[in-house]
Amino acid sequence: MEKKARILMVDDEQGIRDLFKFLLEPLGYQVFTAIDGLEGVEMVKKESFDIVFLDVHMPRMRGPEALKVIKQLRPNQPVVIFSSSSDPKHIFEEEAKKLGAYTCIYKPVEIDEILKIIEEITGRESE
Amino acid sequence: MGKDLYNSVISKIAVIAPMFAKALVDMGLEKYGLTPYTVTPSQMKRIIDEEVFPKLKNFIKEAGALETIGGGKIVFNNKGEVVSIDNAVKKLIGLQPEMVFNITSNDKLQIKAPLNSVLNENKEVVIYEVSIKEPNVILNIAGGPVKDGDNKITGAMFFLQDMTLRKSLETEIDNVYEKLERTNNELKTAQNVAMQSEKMAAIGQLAGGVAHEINNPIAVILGFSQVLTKRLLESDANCMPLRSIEREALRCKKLVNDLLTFSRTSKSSMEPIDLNVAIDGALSLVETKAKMRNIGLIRNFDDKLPNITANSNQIQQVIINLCNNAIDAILESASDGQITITTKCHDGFIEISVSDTGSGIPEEVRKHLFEPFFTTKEVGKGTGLGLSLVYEIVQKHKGTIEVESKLPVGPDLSFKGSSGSLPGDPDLSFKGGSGSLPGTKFVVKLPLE
Ligand SMILES: Nc1ncnc2c1ncn2[C@@H]1O[C@H](COP(=O)(O)OP(=O)(O)O)[C@@H](O)[C@H]1O
Ligand SMILES: [Mg+2]
Repeated sequence: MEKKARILMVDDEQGIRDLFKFLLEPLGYQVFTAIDGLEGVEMVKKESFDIVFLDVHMPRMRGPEALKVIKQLRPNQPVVIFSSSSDPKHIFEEEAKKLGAYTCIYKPVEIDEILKIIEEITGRESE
Repeated sequence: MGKDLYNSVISKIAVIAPMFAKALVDMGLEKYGLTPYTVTPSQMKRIIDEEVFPKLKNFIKEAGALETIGGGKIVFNNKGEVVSIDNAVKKLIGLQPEMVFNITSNDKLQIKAPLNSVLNENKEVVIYEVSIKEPNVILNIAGGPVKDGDNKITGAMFFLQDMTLRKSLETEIDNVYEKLERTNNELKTAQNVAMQSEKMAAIGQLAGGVAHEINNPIAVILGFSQVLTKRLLESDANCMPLRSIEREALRCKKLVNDLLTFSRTSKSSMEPIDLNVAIDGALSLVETKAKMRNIGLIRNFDDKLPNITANSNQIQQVIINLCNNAIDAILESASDGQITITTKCHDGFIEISVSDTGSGIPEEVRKHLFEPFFTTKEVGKGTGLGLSLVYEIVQKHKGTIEVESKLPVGPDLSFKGSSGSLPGDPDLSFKGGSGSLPGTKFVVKLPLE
């Protein structure tokens, strides 16, 4: 069986981190978690991940700042911004994409959407 | 308003006392510390009663013209024959001084019956009012018996007072009252509109503030329930409870989303836009949903629309909400249907209408249509925020929204109402709807500056 992707979930909400583990580990993904931007950045420095999910509002270091640092460290790192405020005019989304985010998804997201994005990114990479 | 009242009162009094009318009224106003601009109808009434009339009477008395203000008496004997009659009375009812007043041949004063009750029925006092056409006067008449030392009725005496002037002043004041009331109502409506807007803004702010906090827990609840539901077999006993958790979480998600749309309306800016383009963009979002349900979308666009200063995003919200409601209404009517979206340029405004062939809107629903949280849809399906949002946005664009609807049962239940009056305002006036097919049409009019 092929080696399943390594996913880093950076979110200060325990419920969200647990959810990702619960959802993805049985599907064979390796799920790592960090409780804020700073910890997330530290982990990216040490290890490589196939996808990083980044919450926006977090203590110590927010998502967008963490995104900037991560992109400096690993310019090709796929990062998905996982926001809890909606963004009708897609201003935030555009900003995030300018900073190199793969896409933005909004809480509460349906799990099919999460799975679709993961498959999209990992599938794209294996091609 | 005050000044109109002031002028009309003076002109009425001037009929009797041309030189003094203004002075009399001014004196009254001064005594109460009022001005022609501030005086209210009820204050004016009081001034007339307590200041103007007493002085007017004195003035007339002193001027030796008692006859003009019209007071006088008629004395009858116990057989009901006139014993004496003041010339003032004759003059009031249009008789020359030398003419004889005889109630059997001329009962302009309608005095026969009251006289009878005084002379023959022991009535102590009769008071009545009579208005005469020729000449045009209103009289207050009071009568009673004349008795001798043995308390035996020997005749009757009737006093007459000309009420014409007072009456016309009263009518005048009533008119002003009416006007005042109307203005007052208009003011109230405007106030309601403002309140409604404030309510929306408050809801929006609140939602914006808590949305972030709420979205996280909903994401967790929704996520876990979806993962678990996916892993269970249909036959599993936990399937139903988990589906319920998922469904309710989705419901919260929708509510938060709708609320958030409010918080957004207060911020966005206006710029010149092509309405057709904005609306078309909104329709592409609705189209899939409609197609899936076999509902046709018909675009009936005026291709010569001038640009209009508006918020494109908000206009799209209006269209999406109206179309979503139309889809729901068509599904409810349980037949295939269509939605027609029309734009049209008129003199000074652009009209956008969304009409459907759906179930129509019953009267009791119509009253609450634009109220936040009012919905007739089943729990979880409707949030009742769609139309209040639409209303809010139309207000922001200084436009109006009207609704015409026709129920399938009969033409008498159709109506037309507008947002000029308020949601839930009982004064909404309704006209017959148009067309013979049941359905609903929302018409939005946006001014071109
Ligand atoms: N096109 C329509 N036809 C019939 N009824 C309508 C239509 N549009 C709105 N309504 C009525 O107005 C109510 C309020 O609408 P809305 O504010 O959009 O809230 P919601 O759609 O969430 O119920 C609806 O529940 C429905 O009863
Ligand atoms: Mg609706």
